[in-house]
Amino acid sequence: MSSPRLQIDELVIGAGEGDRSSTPVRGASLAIGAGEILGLVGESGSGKTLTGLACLGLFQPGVRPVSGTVTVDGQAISALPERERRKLRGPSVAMVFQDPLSSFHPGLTIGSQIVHSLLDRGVSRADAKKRCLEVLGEVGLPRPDAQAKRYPHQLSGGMRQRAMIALALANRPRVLIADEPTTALDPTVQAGILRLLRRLADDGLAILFISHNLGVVAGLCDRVAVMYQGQIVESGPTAELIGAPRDAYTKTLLAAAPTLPEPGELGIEAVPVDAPRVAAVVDVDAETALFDLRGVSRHFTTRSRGRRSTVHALDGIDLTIRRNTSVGVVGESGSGKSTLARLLGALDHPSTGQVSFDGQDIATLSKEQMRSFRRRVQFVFQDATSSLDPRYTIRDTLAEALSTHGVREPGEQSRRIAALLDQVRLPQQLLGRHPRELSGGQRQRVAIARALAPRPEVLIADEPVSALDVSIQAQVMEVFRDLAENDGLTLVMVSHDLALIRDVCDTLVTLYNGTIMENAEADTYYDQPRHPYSAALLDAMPNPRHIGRLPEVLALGEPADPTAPPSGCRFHPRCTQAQDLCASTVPLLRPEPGRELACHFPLQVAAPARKAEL
Amino acid sequence: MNRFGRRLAVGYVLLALVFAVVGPWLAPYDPERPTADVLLAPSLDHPMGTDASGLDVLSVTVAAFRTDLLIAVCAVGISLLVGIVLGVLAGYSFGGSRVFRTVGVTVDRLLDIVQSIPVVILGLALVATFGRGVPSVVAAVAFVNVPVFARLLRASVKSVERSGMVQACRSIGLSERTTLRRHVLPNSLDSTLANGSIAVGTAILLTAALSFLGAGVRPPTPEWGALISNGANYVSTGQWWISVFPGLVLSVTVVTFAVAGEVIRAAVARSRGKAAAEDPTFEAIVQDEMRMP
Repeated sequence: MSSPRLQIDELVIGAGEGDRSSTPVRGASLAIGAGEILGLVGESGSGKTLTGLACLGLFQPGVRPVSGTVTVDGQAISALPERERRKLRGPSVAMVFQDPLSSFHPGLTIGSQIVHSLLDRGVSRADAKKRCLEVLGEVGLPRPDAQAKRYPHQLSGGMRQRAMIALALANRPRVLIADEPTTALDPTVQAGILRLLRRLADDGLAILFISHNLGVVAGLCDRVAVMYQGQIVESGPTAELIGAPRDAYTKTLLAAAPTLPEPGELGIEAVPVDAPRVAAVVDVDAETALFDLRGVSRHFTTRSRGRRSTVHALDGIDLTIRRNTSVGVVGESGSGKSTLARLLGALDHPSTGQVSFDGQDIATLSKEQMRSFRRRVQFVFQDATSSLDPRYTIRDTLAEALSTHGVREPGEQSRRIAALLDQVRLPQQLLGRHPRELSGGQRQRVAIARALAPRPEVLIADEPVSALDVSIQAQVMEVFRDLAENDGLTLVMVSHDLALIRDVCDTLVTLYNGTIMENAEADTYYDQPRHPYSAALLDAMPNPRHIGRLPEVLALGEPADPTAPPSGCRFHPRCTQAQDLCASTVPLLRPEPGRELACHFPLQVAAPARKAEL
Repeated sequence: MNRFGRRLAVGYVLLALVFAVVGPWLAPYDPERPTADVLLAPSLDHPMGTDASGLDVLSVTVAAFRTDLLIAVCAVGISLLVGIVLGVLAGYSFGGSRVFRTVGVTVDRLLDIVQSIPVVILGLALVATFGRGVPSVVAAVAFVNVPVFARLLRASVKSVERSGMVQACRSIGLSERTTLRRHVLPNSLDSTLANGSIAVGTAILLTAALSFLGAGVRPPTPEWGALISNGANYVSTGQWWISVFPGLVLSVTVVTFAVAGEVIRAAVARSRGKAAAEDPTFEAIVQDEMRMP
């Protein structure tokens, strides 16, 4: 390798003052050459972001460089005064952040922000405008001239991130720092951004890709560095590091990363479509049906600038959830997953249709019956931090849940609280702590323990681990699996991460734009997705085993606008299999062996038939 | 504001509260009985001089701590109570109840109306209606402050309700009333209560303003605004001390109550541990977690 574009030598970064001081980065070294993508992996608090910012000579308030050098394109940025550093930002090194909405100025158009960044470097206005359109096209924004005139909030998440990358690339930097650029995006959208970054690197850009997701890193990066507690514990070529990790922490991280099976790997016997057997998922008698949804829709009316519009969060859902099964609800953001969960938990009411629990319409429950429903059906929320009262200790929180459902005798209460902590594998010493004194994973366990307090029959979990680090996700999912398998709980789990829920769920309901696309047994689903949308979701999932192979882009564009659902099959504008029929006729949910499917032209083979070009 | 300034402000507020209790006894002369020593310039006998009716300005100023602080604190107390009730009605959904929705919107609009009238004019009108005297000044000052607290509480109740906590309470089967009492209110009160101290400052200013305009307490009750108003006529003829000294005390008091309010608010925010990551035990906790099965 010729001299590296970015070189970090023994970087030490300090934070805080006095007895609160700490050293979040302790002697990190790495180097990236032209055309190379280096993945910097670690969990929150490991020092990845601080290292990334230091490459631009930036330090958050209270954070300061202690020693070490950062060399960008041959110049030691760490040794320069701020005025000189500023000159390097843009032409030499630029950064892309996780949340483009908060990184853009909300009151200026995308185009003017890019133009400004060029004018600051002494480019003439005409040239700046030309370069702006050029770079917007380069990052794959359709019709750059139209996009340049739009404001950040008018773009979708994926488009906004592309615009952010365009802003970073405007001054033709030699090094790009990308800090979790796809973490906030749906996997289907993420795949496109990853491909863009790969293409930029192939054109000679050096990229430092900061991520907590090993699957993404495996597919994208040439080399990987693993950061733990401020130090780089292991680094090397991606295939070597992921194939044969040496460091104990790397091994833990890899073991915790969920993986999907390859199509056909599970060896599920392919059943001909016209087989006379009736699918198990739809063969439900009254005995086993716990939840029964008939024609359920949920519409929200919103008003913006005086114009009313209706958000079709859910439309015509027919679904049965059997006792003692665990059901995964999957789909992109905005597909109606959470709305469905809230309807099941009676935290919201359907606009039309009915939701029955144990044979009775939830809407007709008396006050007394509703209390019993609240005991039998419990909810775990995505954000444990906000779902716990910050003033209550863990003991108070659990005691409240118990006494609400009649367990008021102190001795009995303490016994139940101790048992609950064991059930979610939390040490008893934490009882006296407040939520802020717990880590994210511990908080979510407390929330689960609270949900288990009234000994419910059903647990509904809405993205319960998506806010947690990978290694902690695995631990919390273990708790859920245990509950579903050993305690006979009926589990409904909403997730956008198909790999994560694979071990937990028996069946998977795939939602798109508020309608069910496919409802299948989990093994069948993973092995032979037949709905093109299911296949797109599965293929977009990053997989640590796919070294050097990026997820496919099978779903075109971005999720449909829920205020204006497409005609016919809602997925048809993005579907690679779509034909005229799909645009005109709504496909009905038809039973098939092992699944229900709403598609006119389901995939016949497990492997994707066609690939979309970026 | 540096640390010294903040301490000074809190110190002054405590001192003012002490004066409010013992002020009239500390006064070297009777603050309510006129004497023949009219319009004397500041001297050793009368450090702040005397006014047109021979009252010692220092004595009146010190004694007035009680009047002004009593009115302000009572008024703020009353408006806090009323504001909290109205704030909850305006802000909390009570589980989407239609009745409470209507009540909430009505309360909202009423607050709008009250807030749209200039404070001093509203105060003047109220005192004119109920007559002069401490109770009507308290009522007037309280009335104009109610919307401030109601708005603050409404906003924090709404944001607490939007957080996951209320959803979680509903899902474990807590009643709306219990949720409100145990979880929503305690978590919403912080900023409203901290604002109480700031409001005491502005309430003092309003009390003095009403007196200055002749709609305040009845003379000869010692009161800053009344004293400043008395002295205003003499400033042009050179007897500046009657207005300037109580004016200075008034300004300093108003500013320090505002600063003390900020200090209280910051302290409350700190004790709530807004940044868990700064907690020294945090790293230890994370390591705990890493070791767990």
